[in-house]
Amino acid sequence: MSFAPTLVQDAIGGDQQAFMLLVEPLLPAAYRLAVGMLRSQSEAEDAVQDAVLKAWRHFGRFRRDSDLRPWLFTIVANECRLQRRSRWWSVVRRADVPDDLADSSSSADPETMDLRQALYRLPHDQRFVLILRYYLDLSYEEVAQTLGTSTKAAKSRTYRALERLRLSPEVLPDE
Amino acid sequence: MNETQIRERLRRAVGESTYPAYLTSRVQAEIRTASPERPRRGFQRLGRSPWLLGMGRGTSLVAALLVVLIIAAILVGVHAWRDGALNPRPEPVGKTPAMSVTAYQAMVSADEQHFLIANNFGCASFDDATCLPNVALADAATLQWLEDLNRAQPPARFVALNAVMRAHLALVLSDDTAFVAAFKARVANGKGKAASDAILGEMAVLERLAGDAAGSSRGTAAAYSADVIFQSTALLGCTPCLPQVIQSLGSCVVDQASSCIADIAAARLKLEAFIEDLVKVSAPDSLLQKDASLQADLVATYSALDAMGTALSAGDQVGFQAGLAAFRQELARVDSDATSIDVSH
Repeated sequence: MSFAPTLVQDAIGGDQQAFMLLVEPLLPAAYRLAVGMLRSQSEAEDAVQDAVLKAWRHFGRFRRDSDLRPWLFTIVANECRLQRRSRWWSVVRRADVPDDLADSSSSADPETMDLRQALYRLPHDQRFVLILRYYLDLSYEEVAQTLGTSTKAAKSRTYRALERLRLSPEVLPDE
Repeated sequence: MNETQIRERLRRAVGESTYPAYLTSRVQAEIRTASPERPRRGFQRLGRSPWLLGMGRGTSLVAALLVVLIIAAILVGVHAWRDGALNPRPEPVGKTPAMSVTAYQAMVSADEQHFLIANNFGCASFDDATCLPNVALADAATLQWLEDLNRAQPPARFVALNAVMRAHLALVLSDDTAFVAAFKARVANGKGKAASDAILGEMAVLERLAGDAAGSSRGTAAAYSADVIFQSTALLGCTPCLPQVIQSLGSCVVDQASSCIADIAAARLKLEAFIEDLVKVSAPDSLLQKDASLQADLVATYSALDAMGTALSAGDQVGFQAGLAAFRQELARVDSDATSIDVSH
């Protein structure tokens, strides 16, 4: 997604309105990413809010010739990672991940429930690549841009994650 | 199963949700009350850096000091390793052979699981009697992993990754020390929260690094070479890239060092990405020697960066300039290694 250079420049200069004009169209996708990563709508909202705040605080680091979407997605994914665990004044166990989206698939068949559990047992990076590719419908080029890697490496990572879920992809890593 | 079927199955598994319209106004309200971090100020700017994530200034300084020690150890190790790996000599009798790839992966995976389980607890209040014993157990698991990595003679493909994991594990230990101090002092939020957040950041990085080791596979010459070229371009030919960072660092003055430390952290992230890629798609037999040289030079570059960070923290301008010179030199070696690996022509 490309933006008027002046808008980016204004946002880098500290213009809140310019920043919101840039970020607002990306919020639904950022939220979808967070929901996919966290399984919890309330936690997803918190993650997006914290991520956008961090993006704003660090917008000076954003390069004006870069694409904002992968940059924001990376920050959202990192926030999702942090949302899951906190030692300070909270009792969090890895197994106790909130699951308030479960209702939407509570009538799902056992195979889907198994897949759901397996998906959320994947390491963060593998779940991230699958959510980007199949839940957000990003092309491999966009996935690669978000991960900061080559398209080939993005395909290979997707393939490995799918194998771990035993989804037997027909796509090959080098395809 | 084709892409469409995979997409359908995964979407069913995740479930659907609608974007809540109020989130936009919530975000807007949050932005209105916050100021962008401008100009750059100290360690706060490194909020997302796995090395200094969320740390307070005190924690950061402790971590920085620890990093000096670790990097010194790594430097000694790397030079010793380079002497052995790059200037082959007869093997001394009784020298421990490198572990097999599967043995190393199994060790890292077991240590990672132990580490994650041990670190998986919360402290309900300052009166929570389970808190400090849990931290002690977490420390023991962290130390166990660190000692295993220190003792290990990693397979060639994991040499650089091994050094990076050791550095991050040492940071976890220093963060734990800060956490315990804050807990004992009953400091609500501030340093304790910062240390806790820093540990979470390090856990996430270590989880990723261990995942890299577990998922490592031997690449073809073409695939490995393409990854190396991609990463070396990202390191040396991008916008922004390290030559620009070097230019910026060239004007660093130690008593105005905050932006320089941020640049060093950014460069470190790029180096780590490079090192991780060498593990994900490891070198084929035909390129093993070149890969060994590249890995050694990447670790030396990584060490030079930390020497610069250390000099900055200590207010040592001469040390900083020496580190910068070493960094430039090592980076040129990395560039040369990558060029020699390019099999595309």
